[in-house]
Amino acid sequence: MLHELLLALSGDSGGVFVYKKFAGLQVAADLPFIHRSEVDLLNRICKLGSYFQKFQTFCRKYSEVSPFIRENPNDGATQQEPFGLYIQAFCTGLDQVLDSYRKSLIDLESQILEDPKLPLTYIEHSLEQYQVLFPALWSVVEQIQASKALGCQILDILHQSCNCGIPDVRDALERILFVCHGVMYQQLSAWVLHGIHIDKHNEFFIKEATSADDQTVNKTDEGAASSSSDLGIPGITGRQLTEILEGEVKKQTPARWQFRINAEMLPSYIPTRVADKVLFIGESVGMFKGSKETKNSLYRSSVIQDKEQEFTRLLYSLQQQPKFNLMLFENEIDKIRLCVAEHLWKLVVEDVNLLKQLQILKDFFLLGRGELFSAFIEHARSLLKLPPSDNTSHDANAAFLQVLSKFLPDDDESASMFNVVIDKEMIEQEKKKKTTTTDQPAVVVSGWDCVKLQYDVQWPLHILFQPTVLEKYNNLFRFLLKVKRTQLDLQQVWAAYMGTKHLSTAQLANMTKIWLSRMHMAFLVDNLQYYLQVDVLETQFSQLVEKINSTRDFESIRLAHDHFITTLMAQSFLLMKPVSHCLDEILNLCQSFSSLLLQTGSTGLTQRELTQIENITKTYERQTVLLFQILSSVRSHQASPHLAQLLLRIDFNKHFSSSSTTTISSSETSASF
Amino acid sequence: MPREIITLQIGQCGNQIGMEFWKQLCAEHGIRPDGILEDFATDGTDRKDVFFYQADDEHYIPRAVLLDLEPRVIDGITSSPYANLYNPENMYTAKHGGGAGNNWASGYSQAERLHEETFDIIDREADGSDSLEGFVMCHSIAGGTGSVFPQQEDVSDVVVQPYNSILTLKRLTQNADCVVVLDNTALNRIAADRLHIQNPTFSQVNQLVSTIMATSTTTLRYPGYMNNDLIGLIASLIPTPRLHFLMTGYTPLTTDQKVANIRKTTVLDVMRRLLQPKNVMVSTLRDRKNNHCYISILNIIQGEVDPTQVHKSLQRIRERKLAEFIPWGPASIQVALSRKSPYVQTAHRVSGLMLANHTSISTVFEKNCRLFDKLRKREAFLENYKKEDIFKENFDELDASREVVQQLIEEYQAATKDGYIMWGTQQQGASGTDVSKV
Repeated sequence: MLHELLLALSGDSGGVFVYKKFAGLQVAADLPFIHRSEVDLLNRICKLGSYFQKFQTFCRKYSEVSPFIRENPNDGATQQEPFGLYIQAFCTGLDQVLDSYRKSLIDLESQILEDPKLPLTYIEHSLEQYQVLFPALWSVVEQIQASKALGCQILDILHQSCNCGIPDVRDALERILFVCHGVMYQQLSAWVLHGIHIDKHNEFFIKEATSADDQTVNKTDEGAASSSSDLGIPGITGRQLTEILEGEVKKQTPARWQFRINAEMLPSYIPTRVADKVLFIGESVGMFKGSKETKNSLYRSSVIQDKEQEFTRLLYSLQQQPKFNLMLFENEIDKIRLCVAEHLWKLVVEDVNLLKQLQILKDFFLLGRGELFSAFIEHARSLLKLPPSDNTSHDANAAFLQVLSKFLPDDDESASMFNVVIDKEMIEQEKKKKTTTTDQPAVVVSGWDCVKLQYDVQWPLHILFQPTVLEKYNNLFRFLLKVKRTQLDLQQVWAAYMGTKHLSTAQLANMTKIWLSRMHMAFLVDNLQYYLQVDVLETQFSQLVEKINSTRDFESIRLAHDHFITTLMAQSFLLMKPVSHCLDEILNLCQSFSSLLLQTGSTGLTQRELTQIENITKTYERQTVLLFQILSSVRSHQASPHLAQLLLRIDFNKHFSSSSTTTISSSETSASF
Repeated sequence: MPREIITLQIGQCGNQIGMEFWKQLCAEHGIRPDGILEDFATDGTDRKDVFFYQADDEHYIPRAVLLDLEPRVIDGITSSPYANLYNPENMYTAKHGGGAGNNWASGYSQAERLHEETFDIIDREADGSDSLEGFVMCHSIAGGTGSVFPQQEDVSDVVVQPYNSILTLKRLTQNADCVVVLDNTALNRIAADRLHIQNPTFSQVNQLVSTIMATSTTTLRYPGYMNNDLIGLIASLIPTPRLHFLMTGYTPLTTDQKVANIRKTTVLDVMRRLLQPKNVMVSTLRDRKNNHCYISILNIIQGEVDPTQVHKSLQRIRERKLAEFIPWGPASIQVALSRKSPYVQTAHRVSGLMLANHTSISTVFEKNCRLFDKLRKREAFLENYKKEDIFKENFDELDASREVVQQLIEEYQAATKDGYIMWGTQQQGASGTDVSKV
């Protein structure tokens, strides 16, 4: 009878203990020789047996070394089940935990053999600890099964379950977790030390960005843009046409972002910043591997090799830690990172010549080559004034390339790095912005509002110039371009109306006010540009160059660069809503002022146009006074010394500060004159 | 589309200055006197195509047109080492070679006859450019043939100079977009005071002028972030169409002999010295009636400049009130940082050019008018003018020109006062035209 019980405890049913579908192993009903109270007791002990049985089936199911063997076509259901290294490791861990249970059973058996009269309560007592452990374990197993958890998700579930107050349960789960971590460390060291990504079942928290990802991105993109792209040409849609036209360009930029963090697989106890570091190390090491084939510079390939043993040991000792210690983990990862970062510095600054690349970036995104963009603005003015259509992107780029080919020598490498495109997302954004800020029903988004430079990031520099960074560069680019455009517009007005100088003084007299308005506007725009280019850009850039020259760590270069771009954004007022809005308004007013004057030419203005100009001038004056007030009030906080620089420029002869109130009144008297 | 600029060199003075100008440009761009690029200059990032174009054999040719009524100066150029630099088709001397004899009227009527031939040359040159930005014309205003270079009477050896100047000034007021005024008195003074040359030669003085011309175009010739075109450069300086006469200053100055002792130069030094009247290349007179002031200033600073220094210098200049500006509008010292030619070695780390629109330029015109009035009252030296068609009937053209210059003077004087915003509206009532009602 007791042996029957032992059998049942190891998961097998017999004459006394039968398997019931829902309750598991239980004492067979209506056995006359067992007392009711005994039945209850036996049933309670037998629960362990049924758990044990379930554990065993679970292990059998998942711990097979090669799950592919089972994969035959008529076995469709099993394919749905999770499999992989982590679940195998889980099974191994579970098995280890169950070992002590098996041992207890053996002990019990020997005791039973010695003393066949052993009371049931003794058995119950000696197995009592498993009464708590098994249900807890089973709930973990169920959780894994229910959520079809894979790979590092298992780690997450285990880690969460570890967080419990029952020491037995915690110990057991930590054992299992330890075994599972073994797999992760294996993958990690392959990745970190050799840049090899071993992950057949997509379980690691870093994954290869496959073409499937790109396709899904493209699909959503297509879905948003495909509306109303029918050109009316049979058999060809506008989208297809642009695809054909842009095809060449697209193919030139293969995906360099081979790996990314798989957020689904990232255990919640490993912060993203650490994962980022891991990603960075692996990618960098992988890059060195790749570059070894193409370029044979010796010191480059030896980056990790010197320290490979050391790092292997580090990771191994981490693996041996009974508990996962984030601080230690991050520490070690940081050590490896530092080594790689220094090497990268060499690569980026010395081999690829980062300074030259930054100069190129400055020349284009920050309009360092002013003459080039003056020509581009002239070339694309009529094109980008209109709301963008499907072909605008292509046409604008064609204009840009034409300008490049005229200005740059044929062998200039920077020419092939840049493309002008119309950002489709920007169109939507701008539309939304404009509808919220103005109450005009017709919202016009011009091509200028969503023009964007595409920069072909060269191989190791993508670590520095990430898409978000380039987006910031583009924001600056659009702003600077707008300032320049306004400036050119005002200069055009100047050139067009200079022809009137032979007229008599009396004939010129009614133009004096317009001339002076133009002068005010040009003055403000010119000084804004001077401020942006000299006080902000040149200063920050020379600081950045200095910093790059003074350090040997890639990390601080990245920081310096991030700081550089953020400071530019801040000092260009792009991060300061009221000022940027005010500036935007002023630039718009200047543009409508110019276009109105240029439309009519110097042939003479009608009364209607004169009143229109008057209105523009008035609004402009209001806005400048507002701008001046905002700037002066912010300056007093002393938090932003750059504001004082702009103020010094625009208020050099104290015209604004002395007459910010009188300008309005004087303009009103002259208007009534 | 390199925004080409065509240089027209007219008359003795124009051609002499022009020659120095091209010498300077060739040196700055590393172009040899025969137009071939020096080996060391082959990979420069400068824009030679603004002022030069390349012939089929790759040698550089200036976009210059040389015109004169007498052959002396142009012959001098064709016998110099720079003879093969210019396009021979662009050098034109009148066939009779007699010159204009310092007579504006003679030059005027000869020009009418030669109009077709000379304009053919200019048209051809203009057609050869992709997106023509403008013309730069070098000439004196005192002589007969050409006339930007007023010679003041104490240097001038020409008695009829006041007539010629007033006649030319009318054209410059009504037809030029921007005039850079330089005069020999000031140039000689600067040569003596700054360079310590007691009797400067013509070529030394012309070198000063060519330095000004070359520096004012650096932002066009070396790609930078702003002031990349001529209009952008001058539009910020000229608020209204008539007030387009600019003064210049340059520091530190050196000549071939490098006599000037080298001082420490910082951006502040340069900007401060540029504001000193003794460095300005026009001699203006004291005018007690008007409170003359700057309408606008553009400083082109060349060399190794820390951008933060510019801001500090501006602050200092403002604190010490070194420059007085117009009361009727915003004005400031604009600063353009420009690169230096890598091929020309200078002893100074920083150098600067000032282009300024200052109302005291009116005193230069006033002085000319006074001299003019003296002669005109006596109807002195007018016989030679009467020979030409334009003055056959009467001297209306002289008086009309005088009137235009007078208005220019008045406008400049008005610009010193707050009421300039209303400039011209008072006269409207007086003249009684119905323009005011439009």
